[in-house]
Amino acid sequence: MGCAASVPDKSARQASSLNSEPLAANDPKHIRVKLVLLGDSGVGKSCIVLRFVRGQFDPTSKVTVGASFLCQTIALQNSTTVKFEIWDTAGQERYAALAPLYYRGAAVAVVVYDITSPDSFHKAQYWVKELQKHGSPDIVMALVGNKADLHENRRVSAQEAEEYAEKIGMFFIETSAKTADNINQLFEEISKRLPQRQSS
Amino acid sequence: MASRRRMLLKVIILGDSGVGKTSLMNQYVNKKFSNQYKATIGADFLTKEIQFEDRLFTLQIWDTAGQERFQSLGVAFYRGADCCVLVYDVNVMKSFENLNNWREEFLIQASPSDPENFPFVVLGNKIDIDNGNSRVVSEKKARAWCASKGNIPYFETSAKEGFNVEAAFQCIAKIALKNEPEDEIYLPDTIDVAGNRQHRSSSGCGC
Amino acid sequence: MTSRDRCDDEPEKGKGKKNVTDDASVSWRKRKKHFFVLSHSGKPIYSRYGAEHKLAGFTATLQAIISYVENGGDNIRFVRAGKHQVVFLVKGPIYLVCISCTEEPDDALRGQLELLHGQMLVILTKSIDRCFEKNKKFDMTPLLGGTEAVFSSLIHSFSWNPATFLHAYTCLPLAFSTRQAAGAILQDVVDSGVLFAMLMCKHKVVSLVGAQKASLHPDDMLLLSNFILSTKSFRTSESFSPICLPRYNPMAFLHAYVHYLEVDSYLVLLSINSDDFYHLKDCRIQIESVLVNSNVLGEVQKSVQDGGLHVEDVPVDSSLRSDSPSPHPGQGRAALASRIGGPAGLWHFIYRSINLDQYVSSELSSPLNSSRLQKELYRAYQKLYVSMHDRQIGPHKTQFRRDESYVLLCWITPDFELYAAFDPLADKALAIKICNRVCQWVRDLENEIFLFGGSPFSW
Repeated sequence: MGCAASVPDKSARQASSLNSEPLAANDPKHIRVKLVLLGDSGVGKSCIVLRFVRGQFDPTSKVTVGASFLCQTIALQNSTTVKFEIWDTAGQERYAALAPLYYRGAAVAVVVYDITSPDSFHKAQYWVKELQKHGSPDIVMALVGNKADLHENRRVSAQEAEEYAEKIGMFFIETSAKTADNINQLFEEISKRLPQRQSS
Repeated sequence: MASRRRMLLKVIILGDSGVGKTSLMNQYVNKKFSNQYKATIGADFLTKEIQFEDRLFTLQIWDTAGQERFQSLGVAFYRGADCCVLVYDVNVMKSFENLNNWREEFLIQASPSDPENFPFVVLGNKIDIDNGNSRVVSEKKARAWCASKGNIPYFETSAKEGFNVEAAFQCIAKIALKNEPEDEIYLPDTIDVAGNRQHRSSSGCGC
Repeated sequence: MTSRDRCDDEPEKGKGKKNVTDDASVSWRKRKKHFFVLSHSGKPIYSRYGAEHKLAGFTATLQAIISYVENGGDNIRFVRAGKHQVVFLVKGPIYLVCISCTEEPDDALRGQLELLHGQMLVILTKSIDRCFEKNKKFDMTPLLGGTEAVFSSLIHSFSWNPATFLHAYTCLPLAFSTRQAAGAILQDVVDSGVLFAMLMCKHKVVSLVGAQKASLHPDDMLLLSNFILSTKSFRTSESFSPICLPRYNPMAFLHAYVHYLEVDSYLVLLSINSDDFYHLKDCRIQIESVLVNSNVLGEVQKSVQDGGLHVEDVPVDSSLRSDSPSPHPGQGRAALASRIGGPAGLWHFIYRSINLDQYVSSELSSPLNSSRLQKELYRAYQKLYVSMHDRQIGPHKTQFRRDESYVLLCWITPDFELYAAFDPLADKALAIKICNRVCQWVRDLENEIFLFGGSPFSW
């Protein structure tokens, strides 16, 4: 077998976490951002991502295993583009210990709960604490109450979540992946909150 | 953070035969015990779902065949019990005196990690018999014994009065909730990378 | 020991509701094959039918039976109760039980329980045992959240996938050069530090390469492909997941990059490094472009459409066409039967190469064209397999069995095992001749139906 020249040379890479390679050039017009979604299983993390990336909504629940990786680029008004490299993590308990693998080095963490489930809101608070302890110090955090279309079954008030988010200093929004409500707004708001210079 | 999931509790019911364990359980779960396994493997089993403080519990109840003499059901039988319910008949002194033996038997066999604080509940049964005239173990005496064994919760019950059985099992849920361990994060191994790195570099090609 | 025969139990009144899912419901009791997993304290972990927590009383019973025997210094293997068999498998703190009235041999059922346990290890690793050592009350159910489909798919495969009892894998038939092209790029990727690279089409292997000294057990491949195929999220986007291969290393997670290239074709790259995602992603891009350029994916699609080996295509010379007169009365019928199926009434065969850990089976076709008949055939093979591998009696070299459904023929040599099913009226001598032809045919086609060099540096 010949030399493995056709394959990316691993030794040239930096050994690091699941971070993309540092940006080659300092291009302030084209920002690349590592974003991780965390939250209890069944709150709709994958649905949010698929709505954002593909404009789709599939009501049949597909349990995520490990983590899925997707990308989406958005253009901001000031002609900047932001490329989100999204890690959609599995919400199951067995993967909790492996979460740092995905959120390490992330510039943005989106913590999702389901407005009809107080338990999932508790879990969201767990993830926030976890990120405060082990995430990047300058991480941008968003708290997302999903399934806003199910307002008739609401069991977590927007006010309670808002107050909590304010206390932590994170951005809060309620979304519906089903109706697409606030999905793009979520990512646009995140873009605005990114530190000017990207570091990875 | 404690998770909010359903808890499954293994509850072992012990006590002399004739103290009314089975009829108490029948009354509690509204279902007839089959008594199918008692003779052969020493216990019968059933499931009861309860709610306590917004939390769902599944009680897995092991109703043992009480013996006049102790007959060990064995280590494996008690393994992983979350709670032990000791039952005696307030009209039979011997059944009360035996509580201590049942408790010790359980602690030896189950060998829980913290025997001093293992959750027990004591039920004094058949308080309605003969309007209480044949009673030989006073509530005071029973409570004193419970207090001496690390404040075991005590309930008095009867075949007619289902209420206290309910309360006893609510109490079991309450204790379990209080003792719920911190959510430990499941942390499996990953393959030793250092050991393999060497292999990897040696197998690389030299260009 | 007494145990009850569930089907003979009197149906309980007022429990006719379809969604009643505890052990008292009639529909639950009528199921032909139950699988249970419980902890050493009797807490439910998994049940094929019914909600686990509602079956807590039943799993307690199972544990009590196991511990009753254990207390006597013995181990329980199985209980027979009327038509039912209860088979037990104790794996440290995890107990697995199958209750079945399918008349499968208990060794076969135990093998299925072994795979069920293996599937749990794929998801959690054997580190799970430590949780029980630390805390005997440990409730494992939450750690298996969202994996229901993985287990039901595995249990379903016990009735259609011969890999579950042959302990061998099967390849998608491909031209030698096509498979070689796929193997070459996978080899490049493995040389760059990937532990295993697999290109699969459903449960069939297109190509597979492992790093030096690393070999993949067929059972691990079965469990891994079942895990991937039954988890829909893998189809949505590229994924990076911890996965354990129990036969490779039961204690630890590997990291699997999974990506679907086509509807049913997917690539799995396994690494020991948790930070290898971007490298594996780059590898995938490289592999994909090579596969597209060399039209491997097109050939894969074509092979899927063409199907595998057909019994009708078994080459025979005219002497076997049974036109010649024969003293055997069955032969005329066998020749008649050859109009459906292959020559001499050959309906189906499985050929397992012992050295390669691979098998090839003919496509199921008329008259075995219902899933019920296929299931029955596989159960018959399974019985044959168990009896041929029974250490107390065997190893047998050949076995010929005739019943009202088929003639079954099994032939074991140091190199291969052949299992063949014929028309029940097939002539024995002719059937044996045909089996020879099948073996010759398989050897003639081996470059297309088997993967060579599955272990590295052998080509």
